[in-house]
Amino acid sequence: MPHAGPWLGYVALASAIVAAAILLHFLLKRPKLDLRAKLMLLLGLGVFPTITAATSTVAGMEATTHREFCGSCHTMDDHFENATNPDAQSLAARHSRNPFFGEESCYVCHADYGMFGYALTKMGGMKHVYYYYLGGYRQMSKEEARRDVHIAKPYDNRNCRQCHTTTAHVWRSIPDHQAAAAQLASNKMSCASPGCHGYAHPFSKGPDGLGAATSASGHPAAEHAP
Amino acid sequence: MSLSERVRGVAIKRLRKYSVVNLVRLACWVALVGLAVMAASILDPSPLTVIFAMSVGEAIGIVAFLCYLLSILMDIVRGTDHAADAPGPAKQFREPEPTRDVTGSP
Repeated sequence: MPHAGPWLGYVALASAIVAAAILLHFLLKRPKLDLRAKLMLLLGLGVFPTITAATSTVAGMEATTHREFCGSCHTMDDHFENATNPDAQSLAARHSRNPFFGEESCYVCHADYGMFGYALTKMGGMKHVYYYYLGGYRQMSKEEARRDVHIAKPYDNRNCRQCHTTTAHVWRSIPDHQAAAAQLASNKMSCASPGCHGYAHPFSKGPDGLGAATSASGHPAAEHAP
Repeated sequence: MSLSERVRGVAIKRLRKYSVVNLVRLACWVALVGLAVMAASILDPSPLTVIFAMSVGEAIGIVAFLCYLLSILMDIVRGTDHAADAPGPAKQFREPEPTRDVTGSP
């Protein structure tokens, strides 16, 4: 989805204000319902609200791609904190510092791609909202969430390959990549696994494995340090 | 009189019974609610407000616009026997106005 920028929100608010002014004028001043008033009402009830609806929809959809939006549920607090920590060294944190990912690092990595990728991603997001508000996630403590909330389906290596094409000479020249090429292509091995590039959100992987070595703040966790 | 004519007659009577002005005012209030919901999603883009604006907010806006279109339809059906700014029934359904004596006789 192209970046519309904040101006779209301003357009939505401005058209809503103009429409509301027209409607309030009609309601409070009670002018005669002649042709002029009807045309003004057409603007206030039809044209400007349509502009508001269209722009607020696009702005709202874009807002759902922001990291703050993903982090607005408390179950994502650790992920958000880790991704925004300038000292953190997790895969997610390092990618979040990349200007290409910017403020939308959650979306860029977790979005489905392809023709229906955007719609599928948003449908998946609706499931998250359902689980949060009606599926009991809202009542979970952070510790419970860290233990019980997991990614819905195995992370697809194709998402990594949106940027890391795996066709460049440098990538192919690494022996481990050559050896695992077939498994990576078939998604049987994850790029973000302990033996390779490490978990993207290591703090969420419990006391065993490489994830245990890093806390949400990005620093080695004392309780799991060797 | 055929059934379709009777249905049409009943529909026209009902349309005339309700004031165009009142319906437009209702449309305005409903639209204000819809606009507030949509504006809230811009000011506070949290999951619930965004979803609420994209579903309920836009549905409210559509209802308001439909009310406006209905009022236009009613206005057209009423025709010239009903002043545009006069709430209440059309002329043919009103109480007859008292006749004035224009002859000047005592």
